[in-house]
Amino acid sequence: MKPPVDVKHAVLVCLLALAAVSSADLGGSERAATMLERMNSALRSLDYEGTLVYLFDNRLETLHLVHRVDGGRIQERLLSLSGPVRAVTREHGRVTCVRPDGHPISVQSRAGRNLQRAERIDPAALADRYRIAIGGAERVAGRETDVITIEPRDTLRYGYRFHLDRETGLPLKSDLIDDRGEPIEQLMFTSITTHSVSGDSGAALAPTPDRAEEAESKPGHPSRWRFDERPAGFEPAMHDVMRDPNGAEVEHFVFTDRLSAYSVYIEADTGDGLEGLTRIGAAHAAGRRIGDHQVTAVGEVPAATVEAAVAGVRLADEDAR
Amino acid sequence: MTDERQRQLSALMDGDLDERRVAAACDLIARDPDLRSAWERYHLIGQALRGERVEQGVRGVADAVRSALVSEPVPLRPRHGVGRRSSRLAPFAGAALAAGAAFLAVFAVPALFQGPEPGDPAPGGDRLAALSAPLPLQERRWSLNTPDLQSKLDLFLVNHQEAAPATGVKGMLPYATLIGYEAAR
Repeated sequence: MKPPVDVKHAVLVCLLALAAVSSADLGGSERAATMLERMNSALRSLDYEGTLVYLFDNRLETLHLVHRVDGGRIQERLLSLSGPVRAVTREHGRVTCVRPDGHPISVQSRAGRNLQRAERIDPAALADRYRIAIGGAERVAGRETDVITIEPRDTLRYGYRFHLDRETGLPLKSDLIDDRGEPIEQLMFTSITTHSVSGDSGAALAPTPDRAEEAESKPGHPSRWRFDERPAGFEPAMHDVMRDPNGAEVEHFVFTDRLSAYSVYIEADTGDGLEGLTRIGAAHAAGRRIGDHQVTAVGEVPAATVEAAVAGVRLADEDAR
Repeated sequence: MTDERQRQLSALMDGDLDERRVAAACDLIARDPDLRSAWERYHLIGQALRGERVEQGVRGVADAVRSALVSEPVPLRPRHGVGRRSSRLAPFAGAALAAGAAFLAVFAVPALFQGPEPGDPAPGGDRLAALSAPLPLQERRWSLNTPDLQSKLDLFLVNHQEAAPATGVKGMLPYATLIGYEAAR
């Protein structure tokens, strides 16, 4: 028996509606990619300076940020304006952090490499772990912004909500959010001045062959450590060996889902490492001893993620036994 | 703060400012709170980049020194009782006071930034010693009482942020945690 004509029409309407929704999704994804690419470009090509507020756990801190693109290199200074002196500078190839006790710590900046390849957020690549939505317009620091939300699909990672300046594409407000879309910490400009980078400074950020080669290098330094049981969605991205301030070797592994990331540090146990879980702001750290080694996982990820990360670390020769 | 003033400040710090313009620059710093703040910030950042220890007491010390000098009865204040001061001289006295404060802010503050050497008498007596004394730590970073472990976890986190993909895209948000977060205040 042939279906009645009305049913055929209904099926056709449903198919058209599905196609329209799918097309809208595709359009939304493309628009999200465009917005994120514009944000990325603005961060790399504009000089800006302003006052920000940082909100976490109902605490409010005032910060001052200076961002310069100088000779193709990004230089940034972030300084606390309230409470004890705290500052982060990214200049001359180093990141230096002045801590409240006055002891600065300094590490080699990898921003040159990151900016070339991994510094893009690709909405299509994040689809399995995040929902990306564009919506709303809000006024931040006296400027019109468009809102884009990258919301995690589970509790193992955080997402972001960016308020992007309509004129420049800069993120004037950045929220770290959980899987329910609730803000965990927020950073917002209350005033900002922007300047275009003169000359070809911005263009100089294009990858040089050496940097591109470095960026394409794969993790794979030989290591005795295995990470077969990892938090879902996190893949190894980097492995190197660093030295702590006392000169001792520390193996460093980075795992990422292409947006969120955590690091695992493994060093000789000196009896004073982290046992258990702790946090600073939204960043968590978990540690445990394995044999003669101290394993510590750190990252701007939920507690469960760093706990799972240290729990899944194994010595390769331990498995062989 | 205009770009020109910022350039002057930077040149003064670097010792590149024409000596004929140094006095005017000192006066500017004495009058302009933004410039004084910038002076402190530049010193702080310079110290951090050179890996030197930074005392917490440097915060607002230029203003503190200036206030201390303004409230100082002798010998910086004009003496009373010697005769009524001509009102025409008042602006000059004020300027002298400002220049004195500026001189100390510019040349004495860097010394305070370094902190006294062990065994050295505090410069300027107890009052300045109190001004340059480190503030007590009010927080327990990482909810820990062990400074070495706090320091190590801070180092791990900064190193992680630099190594992690997409950190730059998030702007300074990852670093705001490091300096914006202050527990148990």
